Amino acid sequence: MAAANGSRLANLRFLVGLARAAGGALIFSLPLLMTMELWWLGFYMGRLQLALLTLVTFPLLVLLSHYVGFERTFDWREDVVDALAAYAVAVIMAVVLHPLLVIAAPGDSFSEIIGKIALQAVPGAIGALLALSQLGQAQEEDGSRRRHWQEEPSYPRELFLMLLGALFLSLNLAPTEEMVLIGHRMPPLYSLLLVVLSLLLMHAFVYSVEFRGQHDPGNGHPGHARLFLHYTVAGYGIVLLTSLFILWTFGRFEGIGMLDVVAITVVLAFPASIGAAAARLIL
Amino acid sequence: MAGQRGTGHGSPWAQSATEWIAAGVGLAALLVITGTLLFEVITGNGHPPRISAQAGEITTQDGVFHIPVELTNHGSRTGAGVLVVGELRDGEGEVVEEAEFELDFLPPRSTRRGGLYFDLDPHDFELSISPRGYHYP
Repeated sequence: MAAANGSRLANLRFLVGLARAAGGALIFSLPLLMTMELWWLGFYMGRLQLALLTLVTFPLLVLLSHYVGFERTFDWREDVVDALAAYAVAVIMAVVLHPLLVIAAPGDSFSEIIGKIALQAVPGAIGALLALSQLGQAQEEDGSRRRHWQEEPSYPRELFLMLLGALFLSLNLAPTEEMVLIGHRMPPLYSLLLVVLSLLLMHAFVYSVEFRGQHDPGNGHPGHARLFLHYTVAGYGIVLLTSLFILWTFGRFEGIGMLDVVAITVVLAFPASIGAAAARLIL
Repeated sequence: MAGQRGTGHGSPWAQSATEWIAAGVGLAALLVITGTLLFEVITGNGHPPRISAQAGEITTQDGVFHIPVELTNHGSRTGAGVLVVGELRDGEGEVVEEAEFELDFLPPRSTRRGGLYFDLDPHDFELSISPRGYHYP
């Protein structure tokens, strides 16, 4: 009797979780869903690149569930199940919204529709998983997980969150022509200045995260130089690699010289670095 | 409930049936999407757009003749800026009227529709509709 009740309750809670996940998927994927450059990328971008993006996203979702999810145990199977459920929510959301907004219409080939949905599922699944785990924490009466993190911040987790923030922001901005245009127009000196500005802003975020997490001032507070190397520089490295990967995935480097590749990457890395730094503060 | 939490399966909805169904749907979606994409990687040979134009039924609208056109790309790459030209020729092969439109994009195996307007009645002439060019996006 009690077991049946428990399982019914578990099902109900999961359904509530799914509804929440749908909300998260919507918030995270709407900006991209309503950008026509992204619809075009859905059919013309390289199939290998799109397959790679999907295959890279999935382990990231599992890791996200692992690092941000509200389970106290480190059960990888559970994380995989959560990541799959989040992916399902994102795909269903895309399947419903594409025909409704006539982004997928009669006459579109299967390949075209799959491409659009595959692209849309990436930010959607991130949003769904964040909503499943993050908003779920509010329902948990004990905040033990969060406190546990603040006492023992894990360096890989921090780097992962930066990667996620960078990925999300660059996914949103890389499809637009403007990244390439700005990159083409910037003189090398300006690119250099943009790198400095990105680093400074990132460090400001890093510093404020440290400040927030510090309950006991003066007790083992890491020095500025160490913070700068460990978080800002390492984070910016992750940001650059993420921007490079996304731009390559979207075919933005085709027929472009090495200097422009660097310039465009630096341009995209600017918002991506803010995303990376802010992700640590928010999540 | 408290016992369930205490077992170490931390999530309150850890073992629910709906969770497994959702995960199954997610797995199926992941396999279909990556499977389709990788299948295209293997079978796609980078053929340039191969575009066919199919004219529909001619109707009159306010004194002009309208011909709907359906374009299909049989190649394996997207054509952008696809220019479609329709021509009316007389008995001697001279072009007497020309109409055209441009398609932003024509993805592989997809179909897009457009239309051509002629002042002369296409029934009285020889009509040809052909794609004239494209560029890659």
